[in-house]
Amino acid sequence: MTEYDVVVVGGGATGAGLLRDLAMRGVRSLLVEQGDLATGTTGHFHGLLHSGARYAVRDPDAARECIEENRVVRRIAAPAVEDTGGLFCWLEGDPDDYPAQLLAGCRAAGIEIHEVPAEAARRDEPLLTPALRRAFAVPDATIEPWGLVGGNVEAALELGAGVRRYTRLAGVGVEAGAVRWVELEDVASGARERVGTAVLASAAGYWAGRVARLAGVELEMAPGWGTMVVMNQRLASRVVNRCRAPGDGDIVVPVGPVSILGTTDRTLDTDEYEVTRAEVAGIMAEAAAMMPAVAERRVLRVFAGARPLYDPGHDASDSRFLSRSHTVLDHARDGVEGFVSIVGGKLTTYRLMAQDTADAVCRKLGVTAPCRTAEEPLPEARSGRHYRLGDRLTAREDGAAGADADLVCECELVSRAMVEEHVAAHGRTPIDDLLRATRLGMGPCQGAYCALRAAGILERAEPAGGSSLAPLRGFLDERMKGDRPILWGDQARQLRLNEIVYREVLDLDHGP
Amino acid sequence: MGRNGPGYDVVVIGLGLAGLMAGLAAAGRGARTLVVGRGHGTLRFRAGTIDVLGYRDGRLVAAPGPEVAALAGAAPEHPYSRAGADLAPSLDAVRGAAEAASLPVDGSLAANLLVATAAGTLRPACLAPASLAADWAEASVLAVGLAGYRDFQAELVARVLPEAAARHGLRLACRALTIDVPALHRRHLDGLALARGFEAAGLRREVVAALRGHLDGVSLVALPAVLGLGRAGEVRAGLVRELGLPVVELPSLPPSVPGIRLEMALTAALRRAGGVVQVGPGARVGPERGEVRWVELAAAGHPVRVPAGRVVLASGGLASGGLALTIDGAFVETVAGLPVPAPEAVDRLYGTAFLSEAGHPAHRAGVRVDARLRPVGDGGEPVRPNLFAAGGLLAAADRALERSADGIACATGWRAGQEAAA
Amino acid sequence: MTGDPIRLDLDETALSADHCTKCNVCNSACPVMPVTDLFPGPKYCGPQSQRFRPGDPVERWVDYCSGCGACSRACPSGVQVAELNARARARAYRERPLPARLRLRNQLLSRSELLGRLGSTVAPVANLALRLRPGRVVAERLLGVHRDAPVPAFAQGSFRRRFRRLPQPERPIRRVAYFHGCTTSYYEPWVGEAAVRVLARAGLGVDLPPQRCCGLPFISNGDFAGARRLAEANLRALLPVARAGTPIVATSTSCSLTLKHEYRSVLGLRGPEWDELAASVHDLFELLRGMVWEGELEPPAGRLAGRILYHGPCQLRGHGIGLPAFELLSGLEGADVAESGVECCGVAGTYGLKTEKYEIARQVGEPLRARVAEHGADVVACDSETCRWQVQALTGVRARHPVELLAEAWE
Repeated sequence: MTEYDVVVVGGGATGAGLLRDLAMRGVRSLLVEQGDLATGTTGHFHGLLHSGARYAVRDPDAARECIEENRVVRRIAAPAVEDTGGLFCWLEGDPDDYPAQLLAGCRAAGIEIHEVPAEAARRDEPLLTPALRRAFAVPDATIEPWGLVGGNVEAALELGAGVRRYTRLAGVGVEAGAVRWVELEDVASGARERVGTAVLASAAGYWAGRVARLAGVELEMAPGWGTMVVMNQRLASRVVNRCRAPGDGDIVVPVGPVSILGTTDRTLDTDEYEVTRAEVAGIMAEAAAMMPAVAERRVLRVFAGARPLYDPGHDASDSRFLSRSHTVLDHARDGVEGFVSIVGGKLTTYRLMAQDTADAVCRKLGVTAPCRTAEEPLPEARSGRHYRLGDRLTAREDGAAGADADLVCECELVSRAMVEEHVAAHGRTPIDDLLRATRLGMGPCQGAYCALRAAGILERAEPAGGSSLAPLRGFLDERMKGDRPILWGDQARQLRLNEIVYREVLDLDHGP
Repeated sequence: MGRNGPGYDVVVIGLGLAGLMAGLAAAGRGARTLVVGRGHGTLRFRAGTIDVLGYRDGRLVAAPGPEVAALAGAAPEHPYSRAGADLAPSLDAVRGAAEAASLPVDGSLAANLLVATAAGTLRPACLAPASLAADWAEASVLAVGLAGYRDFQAELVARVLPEAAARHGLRLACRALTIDVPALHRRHLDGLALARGFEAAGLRREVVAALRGHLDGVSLVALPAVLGLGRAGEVRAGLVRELGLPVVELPSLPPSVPGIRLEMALTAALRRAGGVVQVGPGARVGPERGEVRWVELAAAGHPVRVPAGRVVLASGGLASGGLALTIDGAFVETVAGLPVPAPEAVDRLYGTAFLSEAGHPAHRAGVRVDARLRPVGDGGEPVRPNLFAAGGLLAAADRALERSADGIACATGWRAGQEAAA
Repeated sequence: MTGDPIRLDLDETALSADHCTKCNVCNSACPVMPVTDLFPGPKYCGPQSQRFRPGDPVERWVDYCSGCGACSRACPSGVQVAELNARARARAYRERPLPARLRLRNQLLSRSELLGRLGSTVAPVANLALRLRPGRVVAERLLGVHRDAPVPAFAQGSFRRRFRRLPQPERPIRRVAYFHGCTTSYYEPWVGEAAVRVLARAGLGVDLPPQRCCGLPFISNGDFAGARRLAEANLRALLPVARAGTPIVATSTSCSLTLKHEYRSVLGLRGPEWDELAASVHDLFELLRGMVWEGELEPPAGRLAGRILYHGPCQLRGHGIGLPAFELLSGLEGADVAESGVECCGVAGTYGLKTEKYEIARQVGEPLRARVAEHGADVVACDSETCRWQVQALTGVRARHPVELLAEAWE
């Protein structure tokens, strides 16, 4: 039986950050993730690298934590971060006292904030409503989660850590009140393997309860589902926040070529959340209060992510007001030694969450090496250069990215070389993995072209067993899931075109 | 407004298959005809086949002619029940136009053909360009990919096609080969660039040379559908001659070269019949009520009102912009503001899976018409006495599910054009 | 403000990229893509790259777009493809300036009025220099204007002066204002004369308002600041005319399209006054045909001699009004007028004059050359001046503005 010091469960930002931290401290660690990396909450959030201003009024500790980590992440994960800046917009009719509280709270938390004249704000962001009366600039930024997680994992792999994707935690062996081994199941083949470990660290997000149960520990999670609406183009170049207490639909976040409108909060203990048209309409109406053009622009898709909130006893009504700071739970107090869970928190503070967890784990292992994750940049961050939206286009125009014949996903400028690089590293994967690695299929056509091309290229690289086109259908169904609640206007048109291609031209619904 | 008055006797709005057929029918009857559209229709996305009826209730349709008659009988609201009799003459017109452009067409209403695609599937079609038709039974196929052309991967075809054939009770074998020749080394390589490359002979020579030596035991060479544009017949004949084997083309993603060939053939036939084609501006009809007297084109600077005797709306469905869907689930007909009943409540307009087995109810939405293909209001009366509708704009058919888009476009377009020219 | 945010371009034209369904129909209509591998196509350069443009990428290949507009017309979704390309080109020149000699060339070619004034002042000398091979070779080496590029001859004298001597109807049914454009002023004053004669024959009194170059050469050469200066000047001069209800009539379909469309959709000059100006502009044949349709004017009658091939220029198609000149000429007695059926002559204004684009333009125009030869035309009728010069150079057949033919034929 292979032995590790630590098995980390959960391939989101926290798990990946934890793996890197442990690897840097010389701890022999394995990460297991039931799907592809960053498919949980990390892969379903609005992309905001908080300045902390959103918490400055109600939760000053969280706010301070945010701004400190914001600065660290900008440095260590520079290419996954876009330095957009942020604006808090106070509109005609908004609560009078909030701006003063915001200013005071930010200053107390050490968050740089200054007021910007409304006309200047509207000049820089032409789609802001004429009802804008005051605006405040803060150091919000945006972050691309797969690059972040991938960077942490790469750093860990360089130091000898192990990673197993598409591997489920099927069992935890507790002997004499301590964790001794874990049982891992390969999702594709069903094959099982036992792996010995001294510590089990659960960074499983809102699945933390399920992991705990495998070790015989009861852990109540209160997943707070939030819906996000993706707009086809950038509507603002900065993060646009509403200058009042946090509520539904009060942010517009520029991420890559799109703008993400967020979000809602429904506490629901479920694995699958169905977004309704009515919910989308609500979010859009709120965002339209800040940027009226939202109502006419093309909506690309929607998705929902669950905040992994831990509520030790209160009534879980609006999870926004539960503590957003994270908690490391040492389950020794539940009678199981060698088992910790990290719950709560937000992506912006992932590194700190990982550090606190790693500290707890290292204490158990008797490892005294300090945490250095804030000092060392991730492998691709060594140049210190942030992401800029136009980079991919410039690279192609300069010929650095190869000929245009190479474009597999035209919407997102994904070249064949990028696809083949992914295949070389990971072998034949579901097309959705390609999406996360390269952005293939994330654009306006939602896979109309790149789906068939990707299926073909994957086939060429590594033939699948069987003759089924099910992977291609599956990818298109996944796109449909995110499109179904927003099928009107341009996207309804796109769907019909896609149907012409895949049903009428290619007969995909009747093929093998 | 009649003949020899100002403007046109018949104005057809829409440049897709239905619009071109309506124009052809009207011009063929001597009407001064203008066919105008905001951009091209969906012919450029489709495979260049004429799909009359491919599936009914989930089963493959073997004989489209009789099955259409049965469908028309069973579904009185279906476009085929309005224009079923026009299907055969309209297909003859398509065949005639194609043949005049040196684009021979196979197939008939008696039996669906099987056309292979770039996904490796084998699908029904009523009429197909001869270059897309093949005898699949017991074939030993060589699927040939062209390096750098991303819309066709021979390995995918080779893996899927035998299974697809088996589902039709056919046995075939398929091998994959991807060839890389100098003529393919371009910065921009889409289907049209390849089609022109084949016409310029250099690419064809190199492809033939690369294929020699790989043809042992092969009975059919399958290439992507890029074998020439205006001179496709010549290109294919040359390949067949030089390879000594039958050659078949497999359609793929837009831009569809076979679709464009068909559109070019139909447009040329329309022009020969005296019709005028204008690509570009969007259109509305006027005045607000009563008899239509003009078509208002969204020209630059200010609109232009083209006097029109009769108008055929062939503006298409959701994909073409003839219909639009609002956030509340209401359908809007975008040219004349005709009423479009919603087929379902807003939350049930779409199935959950992309290729939902029951189709997407939203795609059945359209304009209801009377026996003469005039759009009707709630009371069943024509909204305008001289306004006709054809094609994807019409209600009560899930053309994608049935594979009936082309047949409906041809039959209703032909019929509407004749009604308008009468 | 904090951060390093990007600039957004957010008017109707930029946001029209939202409608793109990636259908590729624009690519299938582009006349440049078939003849050169350097141009990635209107879809890539237009709506596709648009989503990335707020991030200030540095672009290069959009320069090969000729600005013919076929893509915008072919788009079934209402994307302003050509307009997006035009803006991208202007930005590309700003971010990555051309080599000095080509920049100088573009600046000269933009300044149509200046070139025209200088050239027509010394017309005989200028024309000689332009016709002599050594002069052309020098121009090619110094400036990058291809030695074989179709350049017109400068005319002498001022059109405005000639205009004053032209007969006008005694009791006009209405007045119109004539936008003559640089071509009539400096190269082909006879087109203007024919226009006035035809308008007078239709019973219209013709005024000549103050006017500047429409600015299209500045737009095509990516100098939007220069174009806007001219646009503002034309607005000042012509808005009173528009407000008085006087139609502004042009013979150059390029000029009229610029006034009707490019000012708003490419230069982004928006507001009610720009709409008013656009609404008052008409192509001359558009106006006449409208009068015939309204019953205000009898269809022109008369004999039209010769075998004529009519070619509708790209910038006439961009109007979306059909081919009114072709329709009216076809109605004349004995008219042997056929339509070319070809999309583009290739020259695209100043595009085909440039050394790096001359061959592309020539190949784009090859189908038209073949059609003219096959048709055996005596004369090619075309509403756009640069197209006429290109056709003459490609085919050796004389090319004339359809208004000249109508002026001669109309009894």
